[in-house]
Amino acid sequence: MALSEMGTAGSWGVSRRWWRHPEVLWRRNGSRVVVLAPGQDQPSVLEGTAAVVWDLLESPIDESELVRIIAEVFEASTERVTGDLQPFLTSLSDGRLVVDA
Amino acid sequence: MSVDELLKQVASHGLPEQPAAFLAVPLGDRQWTVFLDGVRRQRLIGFLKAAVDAERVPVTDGQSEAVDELHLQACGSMLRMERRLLELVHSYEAAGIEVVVLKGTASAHLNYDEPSMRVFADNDLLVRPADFQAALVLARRLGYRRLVAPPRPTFDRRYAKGATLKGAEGAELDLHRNLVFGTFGFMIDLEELFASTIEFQLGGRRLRALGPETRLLHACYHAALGDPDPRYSSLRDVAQMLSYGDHDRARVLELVSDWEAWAVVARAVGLCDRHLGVRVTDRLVDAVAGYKPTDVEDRAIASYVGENRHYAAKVRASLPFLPTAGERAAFLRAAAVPSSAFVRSRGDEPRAAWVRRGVRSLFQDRVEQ
Repeated sequence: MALSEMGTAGSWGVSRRWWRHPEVLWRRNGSRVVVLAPGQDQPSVLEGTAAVVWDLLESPIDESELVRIIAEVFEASTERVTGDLQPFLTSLSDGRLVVDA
Repeated sequence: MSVDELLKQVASHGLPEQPAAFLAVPLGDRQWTVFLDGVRRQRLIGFLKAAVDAERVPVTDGQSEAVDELHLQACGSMLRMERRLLELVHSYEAAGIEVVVLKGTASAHLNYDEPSMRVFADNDLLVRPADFQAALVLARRLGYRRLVAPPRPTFDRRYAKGATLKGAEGAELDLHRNLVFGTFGFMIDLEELFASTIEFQLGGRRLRALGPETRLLHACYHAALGDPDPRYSSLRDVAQMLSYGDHDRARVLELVSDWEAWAVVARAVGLCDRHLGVRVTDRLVDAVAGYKPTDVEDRAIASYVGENRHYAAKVRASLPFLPTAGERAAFLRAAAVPSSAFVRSRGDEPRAAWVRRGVRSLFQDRVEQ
């Protein structure tokens, strides 16, 4: 998805809702999260902000809400978070770790 | 503090009555190596990770990294194991074979708030006795091979605890038709195991596990009879469920009585106390306090965890648990007289030699006594 389609946090008319892929298997390793996507045999490790995002994806959440929370927690601008979050969510989606709820 | 004492403390991390203090300073390199080896052997890395994170075990930066890495590897291994479990359950359900997830995965997800605490190394599935042969055939089709053949087909159908199988990549599957071989296993109501199951979610599927009461008792059987020196993680399962489980206390006592499992539970509780140093409070613990096993129970327990804990001892110790002479004879024949097919699968030795050895082994210890 292109950035223009997502708009900017706070001004989105329609925000996508994201959620963990229901078939993902995962474990917590301290502050990190180990995830295994459906159909894969090689786990990936999420750490730092990625692990926080994973926690927030426990139930379906609006992308705009995700941006707002991450910006607040990490004291960053919503523009910057949006810029970082979009490719991250896309990669998670491509890797079948999250779905568009 | 000895390494073993520290292992016990780690195994009890998070239980209501923990020892007052762990270490004051990090272990030295040599002790740390021995300790970490024990952690691997006792499958305690999840508990150690939690204890280190909670600053209950002082570690150097290097030791902390080693714990992180070991736990990370364990997490990856468990996820791969769970993926295989889901594939197995899918195949069994598609074939109309009911399966119940036992031990590792079920324990991690149902007994602990944080599944990464409970590390396991294989998958365990329970099937109905009537489905056991079909379940073995399907497992073979899925690439699993059985490690030890049964002495006779009847043995599998009527008496086996189950079968251990290895998958193509070395993944182990324990396919159960009972929770215990022989002795106390004859007293278990196998229908009850299926009737009281509960469901849990894993990877988008609903899996069945033993209910809280039968799960607690299974943990007791495993801790009490599984090994002369049970893993601390097995004892922790018992202590965990007694401390935090949502089992119906009265129902557990009914099952212990119906299954004549007092000696098993008394041993499991005693081992928790002795090895973990944890005194849990539960009606079940009170009920078995001071329980004196009968001679038959003593012999049965010894056949699993005593010095002469071989197959023949288990067969012999099982006889008093069978109600009629006919059933005892049928059991002896199935367990001690191998079929021609079994003998052929094991080499050139004549069947008569196997039979002679089987019968002799059943009585040898008794003669020596």
